[in-house]
Amino acid sequence: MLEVSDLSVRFDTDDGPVHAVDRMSLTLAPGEVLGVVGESGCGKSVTCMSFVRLLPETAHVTGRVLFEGRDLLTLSARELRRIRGREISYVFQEPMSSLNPVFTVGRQVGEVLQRHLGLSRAAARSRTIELLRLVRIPAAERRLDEYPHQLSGGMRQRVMIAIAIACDPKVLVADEPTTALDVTIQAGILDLMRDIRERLGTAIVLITHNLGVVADVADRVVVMYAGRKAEEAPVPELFAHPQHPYTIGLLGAVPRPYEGEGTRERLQEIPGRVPSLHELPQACAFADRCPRADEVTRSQIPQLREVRPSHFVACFHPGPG
Amino acid sequence: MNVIVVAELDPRTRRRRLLRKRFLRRPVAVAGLVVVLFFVVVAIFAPWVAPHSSAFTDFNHTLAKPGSRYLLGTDELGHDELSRIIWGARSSMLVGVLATLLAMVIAVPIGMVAGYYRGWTDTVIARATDVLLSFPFVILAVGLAAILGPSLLNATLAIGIGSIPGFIRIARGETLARREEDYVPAAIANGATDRTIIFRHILPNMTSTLLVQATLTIPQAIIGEAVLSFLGLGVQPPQTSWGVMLQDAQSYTSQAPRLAVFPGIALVLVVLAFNVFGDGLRDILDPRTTR
Amino acid sequence: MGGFLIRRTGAALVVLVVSSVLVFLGVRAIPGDPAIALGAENRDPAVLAAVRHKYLLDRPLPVQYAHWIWLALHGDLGTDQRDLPVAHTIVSRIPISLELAILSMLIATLVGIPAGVIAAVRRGKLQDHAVTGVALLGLSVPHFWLGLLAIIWFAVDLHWLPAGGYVGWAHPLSNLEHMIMPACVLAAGFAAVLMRQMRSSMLDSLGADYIRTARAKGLSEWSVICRHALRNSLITVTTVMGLQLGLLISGVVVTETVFQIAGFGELTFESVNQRDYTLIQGVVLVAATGYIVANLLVDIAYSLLNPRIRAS
Repeated sequence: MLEVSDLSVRFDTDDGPVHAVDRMSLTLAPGEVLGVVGESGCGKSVTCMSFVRLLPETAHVTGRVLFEGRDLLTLSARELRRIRGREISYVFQEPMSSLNPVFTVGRQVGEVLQRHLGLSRAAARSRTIELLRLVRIPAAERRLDEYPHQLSGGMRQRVMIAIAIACDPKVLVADEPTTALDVTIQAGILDLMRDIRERLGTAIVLITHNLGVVADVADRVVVMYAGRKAEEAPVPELFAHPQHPYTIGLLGAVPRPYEGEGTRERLQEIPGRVPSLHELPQACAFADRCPRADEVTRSQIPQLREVRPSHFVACFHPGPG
Repeated sequence: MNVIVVAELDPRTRRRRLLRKRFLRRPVAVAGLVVVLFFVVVAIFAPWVAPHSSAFTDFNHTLAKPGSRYLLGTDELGHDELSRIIWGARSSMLVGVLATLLAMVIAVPIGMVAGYYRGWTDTVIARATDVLLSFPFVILAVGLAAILGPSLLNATLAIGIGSIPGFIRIARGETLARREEDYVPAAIANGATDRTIIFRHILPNMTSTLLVQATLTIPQAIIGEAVLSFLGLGVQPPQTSWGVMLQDAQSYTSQAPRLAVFPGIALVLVVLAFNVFGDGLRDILDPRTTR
Repeated sequence: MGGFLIRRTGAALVVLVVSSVLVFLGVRAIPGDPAIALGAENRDPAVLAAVRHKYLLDRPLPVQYAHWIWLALHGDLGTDQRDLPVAHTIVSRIPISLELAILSMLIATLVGIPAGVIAAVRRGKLQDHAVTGVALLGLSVPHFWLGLLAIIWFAVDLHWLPAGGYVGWAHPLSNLEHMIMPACVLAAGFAAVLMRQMRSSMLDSLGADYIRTARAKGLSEWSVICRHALRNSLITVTTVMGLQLGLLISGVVVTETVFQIAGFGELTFESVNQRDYTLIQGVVLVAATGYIVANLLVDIAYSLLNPRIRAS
């Protein structure tokens, strides 16, 4: 349904060009939950925001984003606006600032209903109450006329989700939806996302740096590093048989509860830092930090290969740790 | 192998160089500074630059058009316009700078106290500032003129007092922000008194903001002086200022419109230069600036 | 919101009282016998005795103040040099100045706000530079000079508009003819401030996360700019307007003097020229009161617009 190929994003800054994304590709099938994982700055948000051209003017996007056969990158602005919010919608990371402080909750949800579905003010109001109930906001009728600053962080995020699913979109892109929330609230939001997938059949792209979240909700996972795809696999497969040294490093860095036998394992950290994105190195981006680096990895860009069934890696030396 | 030794610059020199680089990238701001300096020099060296004293009159050549003898012509009493403009620069710049300095010296400590202690102190200072604000500078000048008589000093006072609320607000805002920073409790834990914290830690960090505010207040003060002199509440004859010249010009709008034009142009040039330079200064001192 | 309003009104009252005390003390600070000052310079002993009696000049200061305020609240601000009641003179002049002030604020708003919005939306392009440049000029040109130039150009040279004076509303067209230049001249400075504030505020709003959300919802650019960003910016700009009120009053005085409009501002000017202390006292008191009340109204408007205050 959604097919991204050869996507590259370059930002022109005062300090020179920044290559945030380098020839990414993604696919999303109807009703599936795709996790996009990576550390801050790896390009996961930029990639997903470029689907409907939500990036600022300083960004140059090349490649193809096929949605139901049409390339979104070449669509006219008017056509694109019909897709935004209606077929492909977004939930962002900061619920505090992602809602307009001067409009009521009801107005902000009703806006999409009126714009895309042509509902009247009254119809939008009742539909909004239904949506607020769907996302499990208590006392929905009262919330309608309240302002964002009167709600808690978790509730604001639910309102964002309500806005996103209002027109029953085919794709919901959630950019770190739980990162800014307390751990106890996070579970509720993730539950909600699972619920939405089951009840409405919406395909979800879940962007996060938290592998735990991915394990919980996603069907398939894409691991990104420095603007490129490092690994891609169905979730159980990735966790059981990670192939890319970066993925292995990430998994090793996940704190696990002490299980009582023997000495506790140290948290493994990955030495080094993410490379600067000012140049596009003709080498494996991870080479500087990789225990398996050699001449080959420092001189060529690894291509994606299927090393196990449905399991793709961009590495010259894939394999278990 | 040739080894080139590059000295590591200390942070202060580095910052100064960065600021200078940024400044030079803004030709408009540079132009502003040049014009400001030009007028400052003219004002300081007026006795040597002006062809005539400000009281000089030539009754044989009243309302003369600009010519070789009097470059910008003369007014209805035979004063040389060019000289008067030069002398007027003195009054205007003097009032502008003095009023701003007065405001700063009074307002900054008050604002800092308000921001640091908050609570009742802050409320009282806020109300006092409101009282100040309720007397717009013209009305204030009217009041002062009634009590003390109109003069350059009174104009300076009125404008200075009128500029106080602006500085209080800035000083208070900066203090409020900085007192939350981590080095404050650290200093307190080390036994620093309130006074030390305010003057040794917080104040030095404010200097660039204050400098920008001062640079942008001076032009408003210069305009204020012109307004007050125009209304007869400021500089009195035989002293002259651009405002006074414009007041005289008002009666001759049909006969000699140029009497209104020249002092006004001088005013606009100085004020514009200060504003442009001040804007540029604010820009380069802003940590978020990338160029 | 109620709490906010009560606090603001209370503060305004406090400021009003303190300001009136200052005016009161100011008059007593005039060199010489206050009776002469308050009696409009009439040195006739009988008149002086009457003035002393009326203002209780032999009693302690607080009593004098209370009495003076009492008189003022009953509309008695004394008599000026021409033996006319000050309050009456002031009240007859206020509508004229009000018309000038409102007209110029209207012009400034209609010009300044859209210009600021355009400059923000087309940041860095030609429109932005043009607006920023014009705003800078507007800030740097003293409006009385602008007034003089306007008179020279439009009235003396082109004879399009009258050079000054005021015509009442009985002749609306003529009234407008006389008011249009002064109003535009007075508006220039405020339009400049508005342009800059609007631009800066819009740039902030447009960079906010909720604008990204609005775009992701598929709303049109018009909706994004004019509904989402503008609403937020207008609220910020309202606070700026409050600060400009003082400059507005000063501006009215100057503009009326330049264009010889017989309004409150011109009255102020005349009172100083004539050294009419009773009149000066009345003018200063009314100006300060007017400012405080206007400021309070702006605060009320702000509380209505800002949901954070309205809904709490």
